[in-house]
Amino acid sequence: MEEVLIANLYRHDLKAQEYFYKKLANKMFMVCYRYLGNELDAAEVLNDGFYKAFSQIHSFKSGGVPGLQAWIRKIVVNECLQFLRRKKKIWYTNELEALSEQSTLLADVDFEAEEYFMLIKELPETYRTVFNLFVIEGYSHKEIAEMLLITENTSRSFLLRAREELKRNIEKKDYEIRTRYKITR
Amino acid sequence: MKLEQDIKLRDKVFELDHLPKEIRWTADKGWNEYKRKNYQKRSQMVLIWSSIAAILIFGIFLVYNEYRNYPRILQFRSEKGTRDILLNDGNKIYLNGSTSISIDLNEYKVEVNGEAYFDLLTQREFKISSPHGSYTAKKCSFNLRSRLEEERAILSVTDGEVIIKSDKDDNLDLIVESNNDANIIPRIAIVKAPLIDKNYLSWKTGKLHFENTPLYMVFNKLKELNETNIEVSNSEMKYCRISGDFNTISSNEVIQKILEIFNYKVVNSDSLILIQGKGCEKI
Repeated sequence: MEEVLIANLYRHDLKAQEYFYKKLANKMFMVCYRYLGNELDAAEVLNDGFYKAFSQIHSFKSGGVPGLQAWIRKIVVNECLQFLRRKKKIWYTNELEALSEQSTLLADVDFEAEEYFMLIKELPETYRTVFNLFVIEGYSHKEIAEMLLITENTSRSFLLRAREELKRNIEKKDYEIRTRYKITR
Repeated sequence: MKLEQDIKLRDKVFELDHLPKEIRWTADKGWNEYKRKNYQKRSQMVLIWSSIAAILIFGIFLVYNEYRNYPRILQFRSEKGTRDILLNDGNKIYLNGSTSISIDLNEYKVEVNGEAYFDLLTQREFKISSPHGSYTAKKCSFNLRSRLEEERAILSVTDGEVIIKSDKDDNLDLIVESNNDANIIPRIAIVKAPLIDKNYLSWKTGKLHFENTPLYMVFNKLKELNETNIEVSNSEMKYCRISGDFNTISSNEVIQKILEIFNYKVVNSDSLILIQGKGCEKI
């Protein structure tokens, strides 16, 4: 039945669009929220992404619903990046830092998904973007550099800073939880 | 971060399928906003395209109306004097007296009864019909005398060529080139010959030119132009010849000249001019 609905998408059928919007919107909203950090921007960019996806549906060739989800996700991520580029900003960094040691998260901390989500969301925008693209989406620094119009070293530098910040936030949260519930390591 | 930690974090984030508590947004709200924004866009586009279509249709209607009101068939009649017709495309038709013509501007069809000079400047082909036959012509100049009450038509081509259409077979069509004329006697014959009558356009130019022309031809021309009946007292006089240029087609002037040259006399009656004389000896 979903295959039929995908076929109807090609005909720009409103009911098919509504079906897939409501099916995929939550996940896609989370993607936007993760990149943009606020609900209003995320809602706006989400709809822009869906509009683009439904308008260019003929570019989607195959893969069923999982393929459609992955394809829309790419569009949505791209819309988020375009939004960020429009809003600002030339990102500078001291590239020497890119070569410093990699930090690690606390190995024995195991938060829920929502907690990790919120911690990532709270990162500063520039670090958050690179972190999302590298760790969550799986892009290479070379690809990130092309997408964000920065150098690879800048991308590495932002990722490093994102990890350090995230680690600090995780440690802080872990400490708060342990203190609240009197848990010791 | 080591690769396995990245993967673990990624998986955790991906498995999150519900919205955080702080989020007020819902998929239903999102969809309503999506519809409102994009179908408003679509409605605007529909409105814009409808407006363009309406303007186009209105424009086509105006042009069609203009075209419909434009006269398709023109009809003219000249009584005594000549009449000049200049068409929009630059083609010209000059009517001699007592000539009626009907011109279909769309089909380029002309029906003529009388005498007309066609000065066709464009490549568009005219289909002409007269009491004595049908013709096709383009980018040429010619005179056609074809009166219903006369037994023959005379087609005289000044420039270009005119095709006399056969009513039996296209292969029997006859081409008349410039400086040629054709006498057309329906169902009997078409006689094509070099143009001898230099005065075939006198009705239009208002001039006459005779060059060693026998008097009988002069009298025929005057009869043709002015319906003047001229007779001679002695048949030998018909073959006397004159030369001269006249800036008029008036019979009086020509006759006066003849009288002077040959010392003839004129005896008028109601419908006939009788010229008396002896021979062709010039004074």
